Amino acid sequence: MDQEGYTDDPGWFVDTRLGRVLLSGLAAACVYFLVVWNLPDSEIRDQLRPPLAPTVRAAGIGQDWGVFAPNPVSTSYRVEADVTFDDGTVERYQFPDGDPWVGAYREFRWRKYESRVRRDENRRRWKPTAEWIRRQYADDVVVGVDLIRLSRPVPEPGTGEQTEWTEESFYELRFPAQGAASKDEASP
Amino acid sequence: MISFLVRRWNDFWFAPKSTINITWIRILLGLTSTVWGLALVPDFDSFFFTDGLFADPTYGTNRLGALQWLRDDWAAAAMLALLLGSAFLVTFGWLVRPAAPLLFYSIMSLQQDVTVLMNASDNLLRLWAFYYAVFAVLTPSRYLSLGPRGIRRDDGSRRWPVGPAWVLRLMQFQLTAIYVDTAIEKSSGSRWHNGTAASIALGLEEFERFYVPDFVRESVILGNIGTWVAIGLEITLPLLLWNRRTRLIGIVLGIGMHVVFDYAMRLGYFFPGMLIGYIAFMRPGDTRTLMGLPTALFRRRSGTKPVLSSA
Repeated sequence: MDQEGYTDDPGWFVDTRLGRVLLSGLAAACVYFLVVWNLPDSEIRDQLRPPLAPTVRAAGIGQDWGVFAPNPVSTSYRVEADVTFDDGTVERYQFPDGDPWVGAYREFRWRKYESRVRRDENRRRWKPTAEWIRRQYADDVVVGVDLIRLSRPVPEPGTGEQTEWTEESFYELRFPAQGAASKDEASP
Repeated sequence: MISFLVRRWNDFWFAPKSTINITWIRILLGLTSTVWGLALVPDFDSFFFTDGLFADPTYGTNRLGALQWLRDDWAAAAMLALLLGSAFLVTFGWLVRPAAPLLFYSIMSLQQDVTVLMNASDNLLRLWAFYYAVFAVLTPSRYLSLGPRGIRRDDGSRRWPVGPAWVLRLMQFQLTAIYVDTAIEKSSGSRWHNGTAASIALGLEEFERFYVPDFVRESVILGNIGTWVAIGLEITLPLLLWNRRTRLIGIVLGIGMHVVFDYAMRLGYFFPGMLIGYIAFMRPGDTRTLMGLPTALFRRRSGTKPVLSSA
């Protein structure tokens, strides 16, 4: 009952002894999980995490809050592509961008993709990415896609330094005449 | 002694509370999930269809996302439709008990199919959906269907019923864990020590959002202040939020910090996600108190007695 004399729903399940015992167990388990899962890298975490891991993964509640930790990366990265057409012309492809108001909620995924696909450990994504870029030019005959990694160090504050973007081609995919297999090549 | 502890435990978790927090968390969760799903639409074929970027996604062990077993394009589209439909129902408080678990499962299924595109804000949205889904299943549906202004009395006025709100405690612990974890992880970072982390983060092109003057990013002093205020708040917010006297200050500082982050950087859904966590710490009357704060300060400066509602 609230201060004004209204009778409120006491709560199905919550107000029974069984309900409180079960919910208390659930609450305690969740708090235990939150503490163990977010422990700093340590021996105790290594001991306590593995038994929890299958349940946590199945429930989809895994988490990691190391945003800009231990340090923010000090280099900006982009991934673009040079698309070569059958007449020899080359066009620079850029992944979708968006305005800072509404578009930001869409395009941050592309920035996230660029930041991850550039890495060597994600090389298995390079060929699907090049093929996908080729499909963005469905009305043209594309004979090659070169994935380009761009990087620019963030200037140290107070130095007034201006830094430049540098480019590095890290994957090439060639598309021969129709019917033949494509040929890919990763730059060393 | 044991009965005392049991009573304290029951008070902490199960004491009836105003349902205003639960209701607004539900509405914000539904709205954020709707925007989350709609923002995927323009690129949906690129991310989820078989001729897209992730034709053959890899799943870790023990994952239960449905799209690992349903590899057709229609399944992905159906999952998005399920997400939007359940988010709609959760927002408006209709059929919440089945809709909330479906919302969580559809978010999880879509996220697990394209983990490479996800950031911490996506994790946060999924976690809130999980907590709310568990609560929705174990709570009377009467509380799940309230509108944004509560229940209408016979005389036309409004009130918020009281009821169990144990999930708020879980959400409070979750928000606390975020700050504790991030503060610990940053504690070994040299840039957080020397005060350049904020300047460097502001200089990362992939995060740029609204206009920040060059002198802000280039100023060593402002960079130091920004860095140490941010890490200082991340360390102290858990203490401020759990202390009765400083709770409201913690809410104001925390939300203010995330407004600044969200203005300067593209962080996805981090701001609405953190806002949900802060609502879990709010009490009835807080909003009125905060809204009245500028007026009260103005009156105090002009010599008039301030009038504030009590929280």
